[in-house]
Amino acid sequence: MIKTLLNIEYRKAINYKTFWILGVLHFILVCILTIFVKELSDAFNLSTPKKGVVITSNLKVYLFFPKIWNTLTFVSSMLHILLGTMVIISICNEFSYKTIRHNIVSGLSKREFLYSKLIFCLCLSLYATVLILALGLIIGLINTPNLTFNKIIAQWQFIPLYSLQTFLYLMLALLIGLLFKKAALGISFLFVYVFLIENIISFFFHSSIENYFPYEVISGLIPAPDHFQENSSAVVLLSTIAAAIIYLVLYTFISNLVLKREDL
Amino acid sequence: MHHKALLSIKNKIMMKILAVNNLQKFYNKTKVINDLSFSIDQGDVYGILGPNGSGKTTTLGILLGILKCNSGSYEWFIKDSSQNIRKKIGVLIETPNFYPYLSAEDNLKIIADIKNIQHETLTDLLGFVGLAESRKKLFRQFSLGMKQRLGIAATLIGDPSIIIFDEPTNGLDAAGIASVRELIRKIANQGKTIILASHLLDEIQKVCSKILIINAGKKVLEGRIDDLLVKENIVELAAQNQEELQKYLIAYKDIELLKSEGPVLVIKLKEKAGFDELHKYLTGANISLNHIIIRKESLENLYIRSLSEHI
Repeated sequence: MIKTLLNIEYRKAINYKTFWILGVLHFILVCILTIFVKELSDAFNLSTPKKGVVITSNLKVYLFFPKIWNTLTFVSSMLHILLGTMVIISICNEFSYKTIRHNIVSGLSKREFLYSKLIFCLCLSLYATVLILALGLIIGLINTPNLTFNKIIAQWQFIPLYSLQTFLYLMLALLIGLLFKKAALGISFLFVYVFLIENIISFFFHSSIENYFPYEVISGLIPAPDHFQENSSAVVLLSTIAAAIIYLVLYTFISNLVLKREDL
Repeated sequence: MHHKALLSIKNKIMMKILAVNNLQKFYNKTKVINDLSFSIDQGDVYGILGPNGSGKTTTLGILLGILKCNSGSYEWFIKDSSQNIRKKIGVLIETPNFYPYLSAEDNLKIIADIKNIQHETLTDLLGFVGLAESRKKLFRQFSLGMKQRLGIAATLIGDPSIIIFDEPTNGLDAAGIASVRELIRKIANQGKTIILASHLLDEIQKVCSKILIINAGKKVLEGRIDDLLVKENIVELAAQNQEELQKYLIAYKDIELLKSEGPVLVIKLKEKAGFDELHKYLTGANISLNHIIIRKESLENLYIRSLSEHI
């Protein structure tokens, strides 16, 4: 069944120009951000120059093994919005073209339909992870002096965490797509939620609860590297990972419920 | 033994394929399907007739699992597991819903994948609906008629024994309507069970063997189209001695109406009165008939009459 669903999603996605444009844009922007990572780091620190804090201006430090894994995953997580947009478009197209109805009357169950979209999210997460892995290896191998295998794998944990983060973000996008059904509305909501709503809500919660808000959990999976933010410890709490897994289950459950309860 | 075999054949011929019991559906507080029950036998070409908004598409939507009913039940009697029932049914609901950025062939491949059918059969299907040349063309570049024909090709994937068409000629020009009707007739001739929902009487009369008329979600009339149309018992009669015939007809107690229409006399028999009795009566009176035609009521008349009686 998984192979069939994968085939179906592949056929839908591979011929869709918008996905190619967004995919290529994502690829180019990840590469550009990697190249300009030093400038990005400086920009982060520009507003908080404090006495006693030594900000290194050596570009290569960020791109040496093992720091490169944290650097690249953190930087490229800023581009999740592009992948999220792809997921929202993929879901909303099914409603606007009414192809979800055709798929269901042709024999796909609503649950299988949801699985096919989960597979789409998984594939996008896999693509993003492989891209970061490849870029990290290439750039790290070029830049790192006194290269050892231990250095390469020292902060390897950021790769699966990045994968989880991307998947969680895309599952949130999937749920938003299912709830809004119109691509423009869904994408706008994702933007507004990520950049505005959660910040506003957080403003009223001066406790650790805010760390468990949906986007906070997503961000918490890949903390800012210590050379980006002076107080960052670059340590991912187990509670954040647990919260991410709970959110994954919750998003899947709600998506299933929305599909199951609604007339198509 | 012979009798049993005949019964078994009869049972197979009349095998029920769908039973719908007391279906109800509400949109907000409005009842759009009202206690609807009907059944369809294998091999029927079953027309669901009703004005726009009468609940035809909603009924089909419920039967296909894209809409939920509030109460009642339905059961498809198709071999294999219940999970795969929809894979055994070909469906075209209103306008065909395909991915506009995909070619005709790729769109059919998606449906074939869903139904677990090999892609090799698709070329023949595209040929059957006259789209073999346009198989690489994007769906969005198709005319409405071509889209509808592609929709019909999609319904035939996997050679289903049941096919559902909902308003298949909606929005088509005269040539498109003729071509889609011809396709439906070709499919009906293959012995498949067809459920055709339409508000076009002509379409239903030309294709269907049984009809269900619904209005405001409620069943108005159901039955074999031929039986329903002769219900009025209107008969045209002529004999060598027309005056003698007229005299005996006036004397016959079960005639409600008698009028002359050119060379023939037209009578309307009272309800429950059979033509056979009248025929015996005339034969007994030595009236030799040279013209007997049982007039059929037009479907349009039947439809309008049923709806007005229902209101």
